[in-house]
Amino acid sequence: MIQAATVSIVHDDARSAGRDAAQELLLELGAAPAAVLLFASARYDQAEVLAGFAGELPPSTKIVGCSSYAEINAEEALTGSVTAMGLRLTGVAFETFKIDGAGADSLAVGRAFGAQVKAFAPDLLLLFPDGLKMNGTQFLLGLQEVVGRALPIIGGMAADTGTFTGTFEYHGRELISGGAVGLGLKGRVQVVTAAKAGWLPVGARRTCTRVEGGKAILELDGRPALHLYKEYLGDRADEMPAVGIEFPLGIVGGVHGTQRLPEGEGLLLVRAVIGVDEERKALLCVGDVPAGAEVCMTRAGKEDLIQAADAAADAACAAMPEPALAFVFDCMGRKLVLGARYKDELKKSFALLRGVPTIGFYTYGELSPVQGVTMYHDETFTLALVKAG
Amino acid sequence: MRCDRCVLEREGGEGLSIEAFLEKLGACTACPLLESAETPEAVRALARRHKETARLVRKLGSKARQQQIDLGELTAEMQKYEARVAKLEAMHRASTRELQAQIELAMGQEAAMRAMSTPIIRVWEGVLALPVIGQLDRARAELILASLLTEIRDRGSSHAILDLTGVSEIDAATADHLLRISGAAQLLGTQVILTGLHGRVAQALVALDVDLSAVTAVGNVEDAIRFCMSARRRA
Repeated sequence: MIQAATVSIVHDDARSAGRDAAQELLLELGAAPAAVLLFASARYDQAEVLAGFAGELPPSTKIVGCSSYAEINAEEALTGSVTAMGLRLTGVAFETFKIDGAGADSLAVGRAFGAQVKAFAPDLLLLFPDGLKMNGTQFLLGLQEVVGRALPIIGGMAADTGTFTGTFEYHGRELISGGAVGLGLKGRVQVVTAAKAGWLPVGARRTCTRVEGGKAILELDGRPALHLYKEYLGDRADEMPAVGIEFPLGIVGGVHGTQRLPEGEGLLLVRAVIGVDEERKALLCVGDVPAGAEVCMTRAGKEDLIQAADAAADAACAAMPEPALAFVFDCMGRKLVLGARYKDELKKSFALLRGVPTIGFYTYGELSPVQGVTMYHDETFTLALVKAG
Repeated sequence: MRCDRCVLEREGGEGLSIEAFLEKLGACTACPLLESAETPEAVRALARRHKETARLVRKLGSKARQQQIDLGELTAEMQKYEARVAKLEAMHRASTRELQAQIELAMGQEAAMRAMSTPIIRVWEGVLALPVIGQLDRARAELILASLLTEIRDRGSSHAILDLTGVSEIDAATADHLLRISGAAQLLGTQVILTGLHGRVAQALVALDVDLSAVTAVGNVEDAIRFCMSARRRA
């Protein structure tokens, strides 16, 4: 059995926000949780939030989470909160994982993290790698090399306030940056996931002919990537780099495995452009774009994004009508594009879930299975429903 | 969690602000004062209500701060839209200026073409020639008429040769225009001579059943000049 409650607190003071959230969680649950998922706005001093939160809970409560761009609870999406889900589990075992990975090869760190996970052999892994210092795709590939590709992994890359300066992960009372944390559930756990983006490919396919570090695209079809991209943006090119979030690249060919979705899936694997290197005429992405990948420009209106989220909610809720828990990992880029309408993206989910304990946050990259294999997504709405039994 | 120092017991606790008092009371989840059997039920009930109030205040405070953030985001969003609208307005102004310049250029070109389409040549003393090329519509006929009358008035011409070599088709409206030009010129004492009538044009004029008795027609411009010189000698 899974008992859960979600709370959110917005406070001017970081420690008070953490403390109040923990107190509310205790009152909602009626007892100390065994495990907690914690997502705190990066507006707060992260150490203070964690200290305030952990200080109210017994040492036996395991805390896992990360800094976020915005948060999601069972009722709404909100900005600037400390949001936590407390879990009391009967018949479901759990374990938390942590790895420090700053500066190291993400593939190798993923493998090392995978060794920890494999030892516990969970049936579901909630994963929160660092959103800036970790290459999410490579980390995931390394992890899957060890644990296998069949393990459902859901979660998101830790985020900050959109400044792309530093993201943090929580493990117990410890605050880290550059690593990854996770919560594994083992037992009779059923999981249903859905991921939908809503971005539509536009124009010609271009081959990434020069890529550096997986995240800096220097050339497309042998031409400076930034020039091509600005040509596509037209009169909005002078809004670079901020406008890049609104026009991500879609991976449409040239690579296989977990970096390109199967034909007919109806979901485009997208990569947000979060910055540019004017000197080198390069596009900088959060997600991995391997050399040889065929990409195309994409665009989407607010309605396209909302409809995609609605479709994900419909699909997941149809597959599991009575879940015990719901997890939503949505992209900060979608929130930016939706602007004042960002809460609309969740209306359908909340209507279908009808008060099911829910938690999530706006990430720097989403992790969600597609056709049974977890992939790294950008600018995608992901929903996972869980129940025991 | 039991508070370090109970706000109900501490000396000077009443000096705390109501927010601080409620916050501290609300934080206490294991108060022996409330759990004790010796505590009167009324006090316990009051303390419970206080705790509920403290929780409510906490939630409302959180909600209010969240709405402040939402308002800030909406304001930022509005500013973003305003900046975008300002940019679109600037683009609209620029394209309007560009369009206006193109319109002015087109108008200038049209005026130049019109001027070129109604050249009036003085071929002899008192004799004007006006070659017409292409379609003769109402607007062009008005232009030709105005230009011809101005020239006649300024130069006192006795004859005007209207050369229709470049007109391949003629209809009732065109014929009417020609007659109006001719009639108006004659009122100023100028005889109009038509030249270069194509066979098809001549057939059309006849078929249109218009009165051509007041119009003089000769084969070509050379014949017309000869006609004019002869007429002047007779005069």
